Formats: sequence, structure tokens, C-alpha cells
Amino acid sequence: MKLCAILVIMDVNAINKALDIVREQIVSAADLHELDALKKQFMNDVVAPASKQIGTLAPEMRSSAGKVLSEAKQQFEEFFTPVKEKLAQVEQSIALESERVDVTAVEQIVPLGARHPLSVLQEDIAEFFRSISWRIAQGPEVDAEWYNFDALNFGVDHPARQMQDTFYLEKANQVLRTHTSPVQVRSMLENGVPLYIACPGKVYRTDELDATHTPVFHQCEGLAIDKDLSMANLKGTIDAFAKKMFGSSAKTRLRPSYFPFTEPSAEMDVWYENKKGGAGWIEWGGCGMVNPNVLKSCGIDPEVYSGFAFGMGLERTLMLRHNIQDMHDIVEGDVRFSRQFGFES
Amino acid sequence: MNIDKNWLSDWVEVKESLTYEQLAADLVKVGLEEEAIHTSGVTGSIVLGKVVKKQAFQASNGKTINYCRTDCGSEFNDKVDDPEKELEVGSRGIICGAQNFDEGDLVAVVLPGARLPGDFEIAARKTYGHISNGMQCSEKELGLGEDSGGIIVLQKSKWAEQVKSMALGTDLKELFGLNKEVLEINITPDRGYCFSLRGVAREFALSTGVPFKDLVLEYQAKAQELGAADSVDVELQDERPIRGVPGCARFATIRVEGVNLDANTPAWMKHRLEVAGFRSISLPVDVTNYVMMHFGQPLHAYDLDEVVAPIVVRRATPGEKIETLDEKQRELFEEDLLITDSKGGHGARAIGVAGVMGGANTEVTSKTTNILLESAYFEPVTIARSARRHKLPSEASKRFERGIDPKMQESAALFAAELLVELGGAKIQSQNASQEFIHLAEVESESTSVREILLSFHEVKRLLGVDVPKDEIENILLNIGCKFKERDAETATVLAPSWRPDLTIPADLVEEVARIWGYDRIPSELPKPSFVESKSLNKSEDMLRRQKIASDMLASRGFVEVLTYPFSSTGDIKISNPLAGDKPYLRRSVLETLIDAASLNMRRQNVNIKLFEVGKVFLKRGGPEVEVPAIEGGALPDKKTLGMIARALPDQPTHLAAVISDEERDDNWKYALAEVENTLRAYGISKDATLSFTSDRSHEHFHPTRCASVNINSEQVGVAGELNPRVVEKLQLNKRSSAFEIDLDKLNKFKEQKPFDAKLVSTFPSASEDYAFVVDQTVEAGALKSIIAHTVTRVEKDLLESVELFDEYIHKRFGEDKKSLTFAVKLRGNRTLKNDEIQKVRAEIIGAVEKLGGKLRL
Repeated sequence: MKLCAILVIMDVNAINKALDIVREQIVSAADLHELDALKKQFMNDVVAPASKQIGTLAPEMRSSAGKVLSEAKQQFEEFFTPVKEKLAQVEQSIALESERVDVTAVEQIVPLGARHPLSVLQEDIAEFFRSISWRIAQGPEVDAEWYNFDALNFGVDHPARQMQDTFYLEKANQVLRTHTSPVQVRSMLENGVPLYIACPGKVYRTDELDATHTPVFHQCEGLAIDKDLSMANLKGTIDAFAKKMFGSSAKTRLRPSYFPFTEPSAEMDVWYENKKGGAGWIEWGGCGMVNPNVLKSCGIDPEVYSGFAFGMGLERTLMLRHNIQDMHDIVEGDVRFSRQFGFES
Repeated sequence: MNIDKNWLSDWVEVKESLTYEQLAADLVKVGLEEEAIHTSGVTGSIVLGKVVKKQAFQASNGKTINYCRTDCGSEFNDKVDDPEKELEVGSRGIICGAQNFDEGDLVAVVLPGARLPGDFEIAARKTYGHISNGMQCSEKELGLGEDSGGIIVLQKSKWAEQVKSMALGTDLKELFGLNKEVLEINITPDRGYCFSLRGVAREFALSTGVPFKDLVLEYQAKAQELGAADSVDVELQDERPIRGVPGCARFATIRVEGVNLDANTPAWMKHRLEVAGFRSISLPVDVTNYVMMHFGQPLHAYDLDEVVAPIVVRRATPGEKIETLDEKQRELFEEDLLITDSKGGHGARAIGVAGVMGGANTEVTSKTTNILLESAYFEPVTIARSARRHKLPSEASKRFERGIDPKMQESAALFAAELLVELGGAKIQSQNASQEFIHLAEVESESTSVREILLSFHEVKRLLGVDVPKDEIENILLNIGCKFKERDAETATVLAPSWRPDLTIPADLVEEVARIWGYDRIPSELPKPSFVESKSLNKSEDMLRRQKIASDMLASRGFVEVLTYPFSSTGDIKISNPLAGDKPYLRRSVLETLIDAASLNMRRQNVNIKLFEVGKVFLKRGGPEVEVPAIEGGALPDKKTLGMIARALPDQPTHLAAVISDEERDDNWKYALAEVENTLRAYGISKDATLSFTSDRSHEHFHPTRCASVNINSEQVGVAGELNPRVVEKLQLNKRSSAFEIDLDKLNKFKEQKPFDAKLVSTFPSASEDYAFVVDQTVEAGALKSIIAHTVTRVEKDLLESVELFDEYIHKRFGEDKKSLTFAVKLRGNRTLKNDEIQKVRAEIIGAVEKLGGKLRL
């Protein structure tokens, strides 16, 4: 291609012809490399000499010649740019295609761990009680017998005290708490009334580990003391709690029972829709109105204040919810058990 | 407590159609919980058979086996095709391994298709070359008893009389009582009176509304009519009552003479005793047990001819001993209440431990014809303690401990005496000229006096949250046996029934109202709590929140949370009754129990383990040793006593521990230290607190030269590093397994006390400088790092953005015992730093390190 000669006189036709030629070449360019070479050639062979020539023209001719040249450049860009974009796109997709990976060949660089579902369950329970404006209380696991029994109306010789399967310490009058109730006593002494607390925690009884028993287990107890609290309020609270634990179709049922620290006392059953083998009642825990003797032990006037308490085993709750067959899985610490739960309870 | 419908019907009307399921439901409603409904576990046919031929042969294992032909009546005998081959009489072929029978004996044959307890199905099978077409069974196989000396030989058994008139092939299930069901219920400790048919029947009546006939009241009336003489033969002399309450307040006796030695306990009574869990022993003993189950009053029968009057009820003296009915010599405790007689002096000889067990010296034997019946009220605490001390819990002590009806002694004795007259041909003897034969010794006691409870009717509404009409309340209380001494519109003085020692305060009566009126009629109302402001609750909730953040952080970094038992083989705090003898202590660190969980995972091929646990540890408290004071009763102790309790209990901080056992790494210790820092930051420590690691050789579970003490502001809060190879090997963990443990309680004081001032984020460029220092190998990188940090901060506060160790290199070209440590220091100010400023910092850093003997590597 020889374009220079034509430009000597800034022949419009000659420029157009040159543009036609270069357009044809550009449209059929194979790749960006060839395209860029064509542009360079056009600039070097047509635009540059033409510009140079314009400088040599008489001043009155320069402007029209300049106009011709800039129109030519604009026309060039008009057909050059789409071609360039198209080719760039093609080249990029070829490049991306060549970087293809097997997306199924993945492994975790840092695999996620897991929480123990009993810990998460305790947190969920705490969250529920916080949501109904209760507080969460904690206490020691080795406690004085007075907190674990006497203050709770378990006399030294009371058969109920013998039935608790207690771990005693070598040091006199100390036990591993058999329930989380001593936390309630401590809270009453420390905070007085009114009081609305839930106490999730670890408790101990001398049961050998088997499919349904464990010497170390978890409970959650609740205690509310205020003016005019009644068993109806107890029912309302455990109904709401049961719905949180077992779904919105859950409801509770009370059966007369006995605990030294409550009077009246009741066993509570919960209606569980997803119960293994069909919806039905399951035993969930114990509850009742706080025995006036317990209030007195904690320096609270039972004539002015009344209250209710309830408690349930968390292992049992977990086992019912997830159809866990064997307690061993919960206590042994095999990572495969917790991993099933991840961050859930 | 086992309930038989037929027995129950002695007290209340029980419809034939009442199922045990319905009975259980009726009793649950009023608070008697179902434990189980027992069936015999036997289905199918068990028929009367007669062994007509017994061929013994030796089996290959050396045992002698019998091939029997047993006549089971024409309906069940083999249909014989070829009479030549078989015996003349019809029979079935049965293989039997037992040896205790002969041809002609009557046996119980379980036919194929039947099931025995334990879901054991009987089928015809070929064995030892014969078809065994059924099974000749033992009592044990039928679940009737433990004795398995061989099969049941009926004509020599307790059923001998009944089978005499039975045809071969008769079904024996009814004879054996195997078609019976029994309901077992749980009795809560407050309901001692329900350890009797009288009590359970009353509850059934309360639940269903059927009328209840109190036989005890009938006998009470009868006894009253007869009149009780003051006992001249019994003296109640408790000189050391527990808590001021006499050990025995009432002691009734009746003399019964001439019991026929051949008289047997009738089958109906035997059956009832069996239901209740008693073996039949002899008529007098059976009668005392029967009356206890029927009325709830434990009785004791003495051989009257062996008892020397007067009887003295007193506490034991030091060194006193007794041989009890179980033929054991027992050392007595001074608190034990004894029944003594006057053989060898007034009250000199112990003839029983009250309410627990009688003495061998006055035992009713197979030769006893004259009997002294004891029917006493013993104080619950005295009996509970004796039974516990002697480890002799019995049916009697169980009832005394819970408190029996203190009005029932005469009536129970009378009922028992009448049974002995009726069934044993005995005569009731009066011991003096008057015709009164019930003798009663009695002292005053708060336990046996009538309890008055002042009930405000409003209390029912206050505690239940629902209005129960006043007349309903009154009716319920009357129905449970209460009486009203006085009552008006607002209050009533209620007299509790004698059999309900558990009713002492108004709340007890409210429970009675609630359970009879129906717990299901109480509405459900969620209370609207007033917010409880409390520093201690704020603190414990804050700790829980931080624990959750730290735990979630570790779990997202690949750690799995486990919860191990805190029992250990070593420690400060010892359990006196541990489950596992080798682990009587409570742990001092979470790690010591957590590593066992790691080991378990290794054994189960769960490789590359990262575990953590948050839990309490139990440490001896510093300072002078204090004991938890013994506090009697539930009264609120004073502040000083509560303070003593607090100081006597072990220190129980919450720790967080983690184990890292990655088989592909040999520098797990680095990860342990890095995760400690993450954990501390996630748990939350103040921006001003300085975290540092210092080499620490003092931890037995850790590698002595690869372990660091974790410090905040120079106070140790934890430990981290590689586990001791000895521990790793013993537990078969991956080599170079590492761990850390943090005392979370100690972190509380390092948390941010007030909101910190956030730094302005500088938009000026940073200046990064690397420093390679050659130092002695003993110089710790951590120390060098903090010197660098301090130096920069000294030059200008807030100039340091970060300082990181990025290379540690040991080579002899640095000299003997030298190493190179390279740090990247990044500076950034609130302006573009000029070169001379950067150089000044550089010179300061180099100068500071040189003071430690370090040299910049060029």
C-alpha cells in the first residue's frame, strides 16, 4: 500500500480510498496484534505524512486540509474501535477459557470447627430468657450443703435428700451441686426481690454413665419472685419456653408431684409434634411455686412475695430434639458428634 | 409400689372394665406417677403334662439329657400315625436337660408358639436326634422366681393341691398368676401414706369420685369400743430424743396365743404379698406384712414366750450390740432407738432396732405359737438415721421415715390379731383382769398431735392465679380428710388428717386444692418482669457473652468444642464417694481431662484434631484453712457464717483450654501461641493491656523448653506450647501436639473499663523497614519485639503501626550460639514521614538492640 503520494495535494478522494483500503484490512484482522499493526501503519503512512504536509501548506489552506485529515482520523476510529473491542472480547474469553479449573476439586484450607450442642443450647436458652427480660445467673459447682439442700427445704433426714445421689467432698459439708438450685438461693441472697433469673449449668449425681444417664449433666432452672406471681404465670413462662425449644406447636401439661423447694409442685410434660414415633407428650422437668420456707431461708417475706421455679435436663432436651440414641455420644468428646451440629443446638 | 385391682377393690369400687392404663391415668392425675404396667411376659399355652417315659442319654458335651414322652392331654398329644413306633399312650416328645424329675411326675409344658419373659419364643426343633415339641419349664423360666434347681414338679410344689383335680392339658397360666397385670407407681417422699392400699385407694377415689371406705376408721372405732388398757408391760423411756421429739410416741401391743403351726397362709394373701414383692414365710410374718401393705402400719411379731416383761423402748448404750433377724451381729449407735426386754434386768436386752429390724433372740420361728404383736409410731428422723447407719433400708423403715398415721396403731394391731385368729386358730389374750386386750403406751409428741393450719381462702387465688370457689375449696379439703375447727368468710382453721404429716403450711393445702381441682384448669399467663439491676448478674452475663465470642471464634478457626468430665487422678479437691476409684479428684486444669478426649479421637482415627473446652477447675483457696460450718436447718445463716462458707469452698475459676494435634506440622506450638492471642483478643482485653509470652518450664503437661507462660501486663493468665512428649506418647497423640489454657476469670480485670478513644485512620503513606539482628540464641524474639515496639513508641507515640517477626534463622556463620531474627517494622504518622525521621527511629531501634548484645546484620 502506497498512500503518501496521494496526500501531497490533500486529495479527499485519495484519503477516502486509503480509508477504504485500511477498513477492509481492519475488518478482516485476525487478532489484536494484527489490528494494532494496521493502526500503526495507517498512522505512520497516512496520518503522519499528511500532518507534516499540512504544516507546509499556505496558511489559508491549512484549516481545510486539517479538517479533511481530522475527519479521516475520526472515520478511522469509527470502524477501528468496534473491531478492536470485539477482538479484545474474543481474546479475553479465550484467555479465561484457558484458565478453567475443576470446581469440584476443593478442600477446606481451614475446615470449620464446631460448638458442643449443649453449650449452644445453654446460650440459646439464655437468649430466650433475656428476650423476655429475665437475667442469667451462674454459681459454683462445688457448693456448701446448706445452699444445695438446707436452704431449699431439704432437711438433713428428709428422704428426698437421700434420693439425690450426691457426690460428697472429703471436706465437711461440701458437695458437687446436684441441681442448679443453689444458684437461685445465692441470687436471692445477693439480689433480693423482685428477681427473674434463669440458671443454666453443669450438675452432678452419682449415676453411672449408660445410654440414658451421666454423672455430669446440665440443667436449666428458672426462678421468678415478685408480688402477685402465681402458678398461672409459671404456666405462661414454661409454655413460652417450650415453644422456643420444641416449636410453635408445643404446649405444656402439669401433673401433681413433689419437690421440697416448691409447693404446689408439678411435673411438666411438653407436647412435641416431631416426637419420634408420632406427636405426643414427653416428660420435660419439674416446677412449682417456691416453698415459703425457701423464701424465708433467703430472707424474703412469703406473705408479701410469691414466686415460681422450674427446671429441666438439657441432655434430655437435646436427645428428644435430635433423637440422640446414646448418652455416650454427648459426653465422650468424639468430634464427629459436635460436627453434626456445627453452630446449632 | 405395686397395685393390684382386686386388692384395691377392698377399699373402693373398682369396675371390672377398668384397665390398668386407665387406673394409671386416674392416679397420675392426682400425683401418683406410673412407673410401669407389669405383665407376666408369658403368652401362648402352658399346659399340665405328665411324664410317661424318660430316656436318659449322654450328649456329646458330656451332659446327661432326657428324651421324654409327656402326656399333655389328647388335645395336645402327637397324632401318631404308626402306633408301633410310639408308646401306647398319646404323648409329646420333649427334650429336657433337667434331672429333678421322674416318670409319673406332673410338669408344666410350654407349647411351641408360646413366648416366655425376655421375649423368648418356644418352637418345635430337632435336637439330639429327636423332635423336641415343647419345653418342660422351671419357675425361673416363667419369671415366677429365681430358684432354678430344675423344672417345676407340680405335685411336689406349692400348687400341689390345685393340680390334683386338673385334667392333663389344662392351661396353667391362671394357676401361676401369669395372666395378671400389675400397676407399679412411684410414690414421692411427701406421700408416705400411699405406701399402702389404703392411701392409694383414697387417691383413686379422689381422682374418680367413687366412694372410699376407710377400713382403718372402722377398726379404730372397734378398737375404741374394746378400749385400750394402759400398758403395764411397755415403758417408753427416751432420754435422748432427737430435736426434742421422742423416738417412740405410741406403742400398742396385742398378745395372740395358740397359733396353729400347721396353718398355711391362704392363697389369696400369698398372691397379694407376691404382688407387693414379699415372699411368703409363715402365717404370722405374712400377716404382719399384709397389714403393713393394706393399712400402711409396719408391725413386728415377737415370740411371746421369749420376751421377758417389761419391754423398754430406749436409746442404745455405748458398746451395746444386737444380733438381728438376718443373723448378723450389729454394733449399735447411741442414737439408735431400741426395743428391749427385761431378760437379765430391766430393759437390759435389745430385742429389736426400732422400725428397722427385729432381734434374732425373739424371732418368730416355725415352732412359735404365742405371739406378741408390736404396732408402734416411731419418729421419722430416728428411724431414717438408724436405717442409714446400719445400711438397712426396709419396707418398715421406708414408711416410718416418711411418717405413718399416728392414730392407726391400735386398729392395725387389732386387724392383724383378728387375721391370726381367723386364719391361724389363735386366741387373743388379755393380760389383766379386765377384758381389754389392746395395750398402749403413749407419750406426748408434736408428731402425733393434730396439726392446725390457718388458711386464708385468698391464698388459693394468690398462688394459683385462678379463682376456685370457696365451697369447692372446702369440699376438696374435707374429701382429703381435713376437718375445720373454725371458719369464716375469709379464713379457716384446718385440722390436717392424721395420715398426712406432709400438710403443715397453707401452701400445702393450696397444692391439695390444685391437684384435686385440676392443674389443667390453671390458665397460662406470661408475667411482665420488672428489670433486675444487679452488678453481679451484669458481671456473670458479661462473662458468658465473652465466652461465647471466644468459643465461636475458635470454632470458626477449626476447633471442635467438647465437654469432658472434670474427674481426675490428681488434684486439690477430693470426692469422698467417686464413681471411678482412680479418679477421685476434681481437675486443676481443663487440659488434663481435655487431652483424654483428644486421645479418644486419635484411637477412633479422627486425625488432625483441634479441640477446646470451657469449664471450671477446682483449686485450693489460699489463706488459712476454713471449714464449711455445719448449719442445722433452713434458717438464714448470719453474714459471718455465709462469709465462712465462701472462704471454705474451693476456688472455681472458669478456664478455656485447647489442644492442637496436626500430624502434618511439627510447629503446632506456634499455632497454640497464635491462637492464645486470638482467644484473648476475642474474649476482650483492654487496648492498653500488654500481652507477652515468656519461656516457662514449670508445667508438667508441657515440653519444658517449648512452653510459654501467657502474661498480660506481666501477670500470668495462661500457658501455651508443645505438650510433653511423654504425655503425647502415653495418649498416642500426633507428635508435636500442642495446647494452651487460659484462666478466663483472671482476664476480667484486664477488660476495657471505659470506651477507648478510636484512633484517626491516617491517610498518609506508611514506611516499612526490615531489621535483621544477630543475637545470642538465648535472646527471645518476644523480648526483642517488645523492645522494638517500646523504642518506637518512645520516639513518638502512635507512630508504630505494626512490628512482626518474619524470619528466625540459625547458622554457624553468625557465630557460635548465635541466631538471626528479622523483624518488619511499619511506621505511619499523621503526616508523610520524612527520611530523617525514619532514620532517627532506625538508629534508636538499632541502639536499643545493641544494648542487649544484638547486632544489625548487614
